Amino acid sequence: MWRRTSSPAKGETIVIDWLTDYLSLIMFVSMFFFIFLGYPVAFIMGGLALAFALAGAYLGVFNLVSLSDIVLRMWAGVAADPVLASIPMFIFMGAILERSGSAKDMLSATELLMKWCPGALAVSVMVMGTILAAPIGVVGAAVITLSVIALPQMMAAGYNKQLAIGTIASAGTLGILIPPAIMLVVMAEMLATSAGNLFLGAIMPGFVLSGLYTVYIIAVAILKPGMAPKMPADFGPQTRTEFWRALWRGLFPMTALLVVVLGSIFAGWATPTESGAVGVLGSMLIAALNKRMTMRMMTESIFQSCRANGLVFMIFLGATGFSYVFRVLGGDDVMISTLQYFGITTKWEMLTFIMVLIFLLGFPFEWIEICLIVLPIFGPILMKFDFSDHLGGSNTGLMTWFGTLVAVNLQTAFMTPPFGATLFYMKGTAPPGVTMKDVYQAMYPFVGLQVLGLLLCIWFPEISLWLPRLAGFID
Amino acid sequence: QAQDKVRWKMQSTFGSQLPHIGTSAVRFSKNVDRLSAGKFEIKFYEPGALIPPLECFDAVSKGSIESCWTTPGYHTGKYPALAFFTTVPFGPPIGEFLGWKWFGGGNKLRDEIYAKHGLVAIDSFAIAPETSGWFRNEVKSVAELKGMKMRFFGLGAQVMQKLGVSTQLLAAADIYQALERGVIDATEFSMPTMDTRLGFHQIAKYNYFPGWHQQVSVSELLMNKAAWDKLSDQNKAIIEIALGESTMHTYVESDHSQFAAMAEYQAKNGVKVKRWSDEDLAAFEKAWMEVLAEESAKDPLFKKVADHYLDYRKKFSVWGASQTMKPTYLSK
Amino acid sequence: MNAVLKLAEALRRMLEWIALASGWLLVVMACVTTFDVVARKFGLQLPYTKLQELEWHFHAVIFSMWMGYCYTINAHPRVDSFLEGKSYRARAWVELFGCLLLALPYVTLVAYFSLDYVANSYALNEQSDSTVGLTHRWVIKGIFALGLWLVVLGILSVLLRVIVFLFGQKSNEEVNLQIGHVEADV
Ligand code: NA
Ligand code: NA
Repeated sequence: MWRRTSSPAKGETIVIDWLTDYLSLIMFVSMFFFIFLGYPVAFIMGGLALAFALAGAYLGVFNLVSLSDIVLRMWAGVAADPVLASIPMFIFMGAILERSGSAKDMLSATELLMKWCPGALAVSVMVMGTILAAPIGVVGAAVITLSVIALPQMMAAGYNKQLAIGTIASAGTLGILIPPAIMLVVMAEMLATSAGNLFLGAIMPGFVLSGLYTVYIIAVAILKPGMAPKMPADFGPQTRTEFWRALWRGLFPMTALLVVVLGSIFAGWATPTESGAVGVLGSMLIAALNKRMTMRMMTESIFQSCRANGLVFMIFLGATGFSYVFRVLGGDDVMISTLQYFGITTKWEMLTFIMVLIFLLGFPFEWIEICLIVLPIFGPILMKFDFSDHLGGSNTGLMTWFGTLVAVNLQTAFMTPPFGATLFYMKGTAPPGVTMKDVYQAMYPFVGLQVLGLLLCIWFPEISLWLPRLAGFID
Repeated sequence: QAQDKVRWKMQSTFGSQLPHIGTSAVRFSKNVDRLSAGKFEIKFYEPGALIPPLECFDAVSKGSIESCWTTPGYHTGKYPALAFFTTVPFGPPIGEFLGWKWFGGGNKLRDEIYAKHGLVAIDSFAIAPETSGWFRNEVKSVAELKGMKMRFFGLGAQVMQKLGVSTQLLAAADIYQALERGVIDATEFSMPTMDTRLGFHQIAKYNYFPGWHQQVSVSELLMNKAAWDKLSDQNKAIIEIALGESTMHTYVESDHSQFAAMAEYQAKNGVKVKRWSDEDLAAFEKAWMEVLAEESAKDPLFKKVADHYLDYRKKFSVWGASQTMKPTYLSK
Repeated sequence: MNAVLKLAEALRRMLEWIALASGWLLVVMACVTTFDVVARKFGLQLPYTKLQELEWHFHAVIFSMWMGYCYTINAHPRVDSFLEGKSYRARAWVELFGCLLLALPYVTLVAYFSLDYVANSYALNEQSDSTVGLTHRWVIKGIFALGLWLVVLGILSVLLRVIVFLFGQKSNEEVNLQIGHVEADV
């Protein structure tokens, strides 16, 4: 193995000890620097993984053979994961809906119904997002679907680019919070609590967030009409017959698809991950009924879906190498020593610390990495505290409450620049002319709303606990 | 001196919070630290933290990590015969099973397989019988299983298929959802203390017994042979002795904890504890014998291990049958 | 330099052909999954575990065949604010160093390790971890490994173009270098 052999001088030893201890931290920080070179993010993460693995090997804290584990991680953790296999299906469904014009009809019809409301198009997107959120619990799929469907239309309607992006990104990200949601199941596993509790617990926070976004959009539309143009008075069909026809044309595919996708889940035909495939056939059927099922439409949809799929999984390939090397170099331990350094002891200090930590980790990491790193370390520590005075007299809801707080916080992680996954999905599906910077700037107000939502859930635990209590899952 | 400290990585297949199978890994890691006065570190990693849970075989074989807290039944994709070293349907209780493994030559067969890949293993823990599954509706007899959709894994899955059950491949993350909505009618997972962590008791109200497919389950510390050979005799002893203690400790702990969990889910969640009739169990056993014959015909190594196991059980029965007792001899 | 450019284009075309052909698996995957859902609901006795493994096999094939091609059409997301206002030549230099120091070493190494992985699987005649699943696992592992090598080829294709652009005195129209923020048509 390639590593230092000669014994170092004393000064050198100090430097080397310091490097050995903080290599993971340096790796973490250097990513923030390299990312701005403008080279593909996936390759930067992979390249840095290799560079720091070599540095670690030189210092004798990394075994280079371990790099072969990246193949295992990519294979079993990503390629062979049936949950991730649903991503292309949801993307494909969205692409067919968009290419065949069904999505446009759908959004127009929602818009028609929302005509009275300021920022009607954006609010329609939010409504569609919340509805789509239910079946699409898969990370990224909802964002991509919504982005493909709604972004071109919002920009054509003269919406401020950033308001449009922010609306879509946040509406689409709700999918991971409103059950069924794969993230909640993974979290339940890491916290050793029931998935059912988390499913019920996350519903209300999801609607609270959706409400906050909607209020914000309406406020912007009223205060700055330039950002969300009012619909012309003569918008939409002028005769009653035409109105109903437009409504039928738009609402029929939406209703049909909802019946197919949501129905297949709730009737117990399909799992959430299978429902995407059912949705693909459903959207093809709708296109055929509208006589828009052409070869050209199909090849375009396939190209678009596979392209989005390729870039998403290339990011997985880079990120899995990065987080692997980070962890082997002791990234986890650095976190614990931070805790000791700050002398954190009381329950509220602890909760605040965990929330801030997850929020900060959300900048560079994926939710699954955060779940793996943070929850097993801090979950048990928090469990030892008694929050019953805050949780209505009983501590049994602690894990459910904590779990939903983490879920809301992780949802924010999806949207925080510079590495939130949602941002890349957005960028991957946005029309030409949308830069990464546009996407970043679009997110700030929505991340702010997200933090507000989190604070509300902390302050009023009943938002999370009301439904599980009603179901008798907790005292 | 920091250089004297030996540091190993241990990838666990089970989460640190999962009762018995995960907590025992953390406990073992701490015991090694205590026994070595901090000079030997076996660092516990959550499932997937370094490598995905089912990829231990390749990673440890290559030496990229020194050890995995896993179970032989997770490597059946490579060697179907390894299933025997975790658990066997209609297998014996812990004494006889470990008798075969430790003293009857069972583990020697396992070691031969592992040696080809630079692996060594020591049994790491055992757990008491599992439940036979969680069902949404009452199943009056084995005949009603036909056409049911169930999540099942391993050799037991083949047995269920013989009885007309459609076994489904579900991601762990999908099980709860699928069971709740009726995509599947039933699921097998583990024992009451673990299953209730996944919330099955909230949605499937019939818990069946006995766990004919897993009467005792034994897992392993899978180690890279080169790393093992490099250890000092003292460190080897620490691992061996700590694992011996872990095996007994975890078995008794898992055996002891179930009655309270069952009492709680019966009282609080209205779960009904059900038992297969003797005829039902006979049907399961008959199907198992067929699977055993089929698999033995397919794979010579599987046959070799199966025959060795069956032969031991036959020899053991002189003693075993002589000692069998009913739960009580007083009339009811 | 013309020969180099031809090679770059040949690589891209090959990747494109593979990608476009494999794309139709999306339709197959949707049909198989839906068939699985419907058949299960109506209680058909089928080897469902095999069917369900097949579903993610399609997915693994699709993304494996597209990761490399995506780079040749500049689809991989970048953070481009730092390079805004810089010349195209400056970006090409970043691309050159990125390819040589970041992308190629990492992906080549992972691709190299994947070969061993497939060879082991073949040697052991590995099958699914689920005893009722699919056999011949080396096939899908082989396709995954091939996908990693296709990424290497994709990086090479871009690298060759960058070299021609920087050192070959050719205009960008001739080189058809696609770097910088993503311009792909959606
Ligand atoms: Na969802
Ligand atoms: Na993030």
